[in-house]
Amino acid sequence: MRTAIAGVVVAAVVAAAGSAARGADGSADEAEVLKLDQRIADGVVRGDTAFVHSVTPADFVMVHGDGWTNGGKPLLTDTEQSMLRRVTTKYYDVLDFDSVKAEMHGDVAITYGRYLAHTTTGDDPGRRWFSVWFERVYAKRDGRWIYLSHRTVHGPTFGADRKSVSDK
Amino acid sequence: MTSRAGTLAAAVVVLAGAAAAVAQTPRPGGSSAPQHESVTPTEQAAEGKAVLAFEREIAAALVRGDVAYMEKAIAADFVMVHGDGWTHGDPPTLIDDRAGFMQRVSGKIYDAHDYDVQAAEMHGDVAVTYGRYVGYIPSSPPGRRWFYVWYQKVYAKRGGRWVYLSHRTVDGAHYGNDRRSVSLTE
Repeated sequence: MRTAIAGVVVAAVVAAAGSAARGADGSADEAEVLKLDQRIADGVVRGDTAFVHSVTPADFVMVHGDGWTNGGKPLLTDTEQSMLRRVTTKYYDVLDFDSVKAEMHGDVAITYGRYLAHTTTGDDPGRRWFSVWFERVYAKRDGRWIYLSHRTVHGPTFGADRKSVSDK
Repeated sequence: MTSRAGTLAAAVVVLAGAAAAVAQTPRPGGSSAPQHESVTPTEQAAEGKAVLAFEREIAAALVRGDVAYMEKAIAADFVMVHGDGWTHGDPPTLIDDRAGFMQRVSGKIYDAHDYDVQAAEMHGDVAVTYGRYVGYIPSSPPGRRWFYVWYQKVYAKRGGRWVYLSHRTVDGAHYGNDRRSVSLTE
């Protein structure tokens, strides 16, 4: 009887330790994932094509505009190649994320939230500032988080200045 | 821009499900005909079709209350976000974890769960799907039993088989009094 109880206790301790270890790993991963969107955005803004290329796969997809969320056409769909051209040309000079949350699934992570952006190009000054709500998907491959997919789920909402889009 | 469009056009693969959906006739006053296309590398198109078939199998299992099938199909950390509030910073209507979702399965609360638009975006062992389905929950209040939802889902291939990780409603739910009122086609 005593042996049986001891066995149960040991099993419980091992299980608890395993759970704690997974929790610690999971928390560390989540903390890292929550910084990914801004870290990659910083690379985009500084035109660091090598860095952005290193965190995106050949089958990367970025769907601009929320038209797809109800059967319409997206504004534009970037492949890795076309997205990297935006990086090289420093198409964006502001990409500031807020309200970012993560949904963790082991080696797959989903982030969602919002960013404010400003582009340096375009004929219409009233469309250079915009806000976007998004869902992104990442996968951990060879110990590194790789950015697979961006889909705009609301927006972009355009404005003439940062203030005009900061609550959109 | 022309060059980019040309590159994109070359990269676009329209999967069978999406192609069929685009061919459907929209109902007057309903959602516009789906315009989006599935962007996936050609060499992953077959796997994309397999994921979409898996998605339909899960819906069928949900309707027949097949707990055993669903326990294998969904991840331990499965998440289902109902309602599109989260897409602009509002709280979602409801969030199911695996246990909550399994109660819906065992309770057989859905009498219908039919996809009318499906498309896949493939990334090797990770798949993103998006589309639209019509549902019927007889225990809901009158006027809210039939509904449709646009969604984004994520799957991962683990141990050689696809596992359902996440559902997020990106538009809806939108309600109607009968199937016709929430369907895309006549």
